[in-house]
Amino acid sequence: MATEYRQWAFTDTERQKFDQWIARIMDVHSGTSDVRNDEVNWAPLKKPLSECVVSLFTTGGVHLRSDTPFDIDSSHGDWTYRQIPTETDTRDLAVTHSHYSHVDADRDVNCMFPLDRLRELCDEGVVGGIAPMAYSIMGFNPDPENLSADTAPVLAQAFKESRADLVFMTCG
Amino acid sequence: MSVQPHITAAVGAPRSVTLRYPAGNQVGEAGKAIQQRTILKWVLQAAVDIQSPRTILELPYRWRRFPVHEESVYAGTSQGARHPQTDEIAAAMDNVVRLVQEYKEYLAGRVAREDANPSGVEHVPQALLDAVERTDRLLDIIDGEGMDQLREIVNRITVMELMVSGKFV
Repeated sequence: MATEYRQWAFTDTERQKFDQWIARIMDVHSGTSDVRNDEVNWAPLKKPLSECVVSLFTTGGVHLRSDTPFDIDSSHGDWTYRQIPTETDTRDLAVTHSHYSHVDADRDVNCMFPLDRLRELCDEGVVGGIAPMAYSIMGFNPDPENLSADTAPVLAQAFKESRADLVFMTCG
Repeated sequence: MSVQPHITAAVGAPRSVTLRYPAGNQVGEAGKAIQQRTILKWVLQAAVDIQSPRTILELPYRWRRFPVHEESVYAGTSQGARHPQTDEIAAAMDNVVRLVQEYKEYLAGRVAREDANPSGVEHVPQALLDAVERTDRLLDIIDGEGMDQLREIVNRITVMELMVSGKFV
């Protein structure tokens, strides 16, 4: 299977594409901060996939219909998070995000937050289990300071306590 | 998982998988469980296969539907910002890709026949092989770079229409 992957390369063209994008975002959204990770953590998997407990995390603005929607009116974004019990019927999920087209996700959230598909793979034995809770944020945060200082540590701890071996993160 | 690998690479992430699908559709199309499951399996396997930080792997799929292909259960319910011109361009490109693939199969068949022909003309098999290679490159340009450009256009148009409608803050 792995031979069919292609290694994606960060070429000069792609760097230029990023520079143009961040310049445009900074122009449109005052207070935008360009934050890079100087160091990247590395945590190798310690067990076979078929024994791993997996959870989901998305920046796509998914939440329970009964929960408070994300704030999409603020020009400063919304760095709060929502809990999504992984037993949830996906028909009870909604998407609140105004920076990408979620027409498809509104019909079938699995095309962005694949909870039903993960359950099927768990039933097939591809993964060992599903953590009881998944988490979601709304990815529009021009200045990620609050996100990295407040939200990220809480979520990292929550995933750790849920004994998840692997977290699949999707963006909006 | 990322659909904007240049952003993921610039920011820095331990392990990522990218594929050339639109934002909001990175695990596939609505209602297409087999497609979604295939992509999810690839991604989970990547967690095993990736052995060093900042690695980004690209999955071998291309988004070819503008707008998204409508499953019958969802037909007619599309609410997205769409420019029908892009649908026509995509359909034409899809057709070109199909024609090139058919031609490549024809050329590959000629190669096999020439190889089996002891009295064949010198240099013809090599010329056919060269042509097969060029059709591959042609497919890569149309189905890869060409479709990528169209996808970028559609993404920008979608955001622009959101801005026009006041839904992009």
